[in-house]
Amino acid sequence: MTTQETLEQVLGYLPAVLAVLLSVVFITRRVNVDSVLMLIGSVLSLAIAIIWRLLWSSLTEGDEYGSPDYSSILIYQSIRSIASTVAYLLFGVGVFMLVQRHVNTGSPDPLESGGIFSERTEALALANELDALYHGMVLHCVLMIVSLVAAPVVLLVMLASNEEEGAYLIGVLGMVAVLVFGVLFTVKWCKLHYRHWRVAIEQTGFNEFSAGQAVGFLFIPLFNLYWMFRSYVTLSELLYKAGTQPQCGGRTPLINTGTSRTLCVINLFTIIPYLGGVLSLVNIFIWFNVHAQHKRTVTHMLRAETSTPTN
Amino acid sequence: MDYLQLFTSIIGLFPEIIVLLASILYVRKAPGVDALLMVVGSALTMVLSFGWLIPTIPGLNLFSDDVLGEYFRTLSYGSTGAALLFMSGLFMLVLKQVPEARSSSAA
Repeated sequence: MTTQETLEQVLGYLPAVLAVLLSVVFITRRVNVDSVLMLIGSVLSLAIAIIWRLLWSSLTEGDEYGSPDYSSILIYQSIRSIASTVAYLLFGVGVFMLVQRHVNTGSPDPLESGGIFSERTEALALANELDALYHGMVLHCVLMIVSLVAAPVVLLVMLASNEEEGAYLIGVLGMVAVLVFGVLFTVKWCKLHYRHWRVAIEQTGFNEFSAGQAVGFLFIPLFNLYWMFRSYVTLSELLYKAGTQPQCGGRTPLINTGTSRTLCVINLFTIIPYLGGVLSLVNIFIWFNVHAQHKRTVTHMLRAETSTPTN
Repeated sequence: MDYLQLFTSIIGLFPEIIVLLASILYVRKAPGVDALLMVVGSALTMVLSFGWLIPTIPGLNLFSDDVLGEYFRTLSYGSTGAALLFMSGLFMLVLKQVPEARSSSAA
């Protein structure tokens, strides 16, 4: 390998290595959704680059006649490109959330400034924001699923009628729609779940982990099977406890901790091939139900607080 | 297969659009060296991405195989430079966001 080739390889890795270092510096100082997304995205990106470098030599080795299989190389290249895009997308969303957090420091978030119940208008605004986030999340999820189902159906119909050019266009547009709605849905879900956690922590003084960790650790593969219990069941229990306090209305909260436990248990079985796919479909509805319960309880507490007269 | 490559290249533009939007949002709300570096870095990356996209357009044979290698090499250097500019800006933003990181790194 020449010096120029070595230099090119090192330069190729440099941005990914710097992104990992930057994310590590950030996450060691502050664990929240943006830092976790940035770390996962940058580590994945570097891992894909290294794996691709290792794969490349074996792909270009060629068969017994010495000619590489170009169609396999193209397919592997496409898989690598999509995987890199997903990794970079996670990093990009993390950067976007970091920038939003930074530019919004002029008008502090009621949750960040501490004491969400100190100002009635802030509590009411937060309740309205949670409603909007929940409805936005549902809308984007529905649009994502519609794109995911409709695009392949139209594509197959067009391929069957030999309209290949139009079929490719539909395929590209469908994937673009799925990606856009998927990212919007993920961001809204992260914000909603994070805010539920912040309210629960504020109300109960829970200090085993932060709201950022509760959301961020759900992105760690396999570990999230366990973390679902911590993130969802614990939140339901905390909100149940908080909802029974007199200042939050003092009545039995609109929440059932058993639903979130069911969600987490079914989620464990989704790793089973084939059966897992069916269970995931069922779990989508339970997942929405759990979020609806959390949102209902939190907004009830916030609105009850604003309607209680103070001395 | 050309369509597959074109498709993956188009999809690859999405993260760059998000990063560019974030940088523009940042420079509009809080103009500074870090914001400018981020905007310049992300805009350059975006422009160079179109450069990667051009040779994958089916039926558009602008370059011979010899020139194509050199073209991709130049793009690669440019993309690395743009990414470094963006990373410098982002690093400054992270330091602003977590000031305690600055003091410990200085120590």
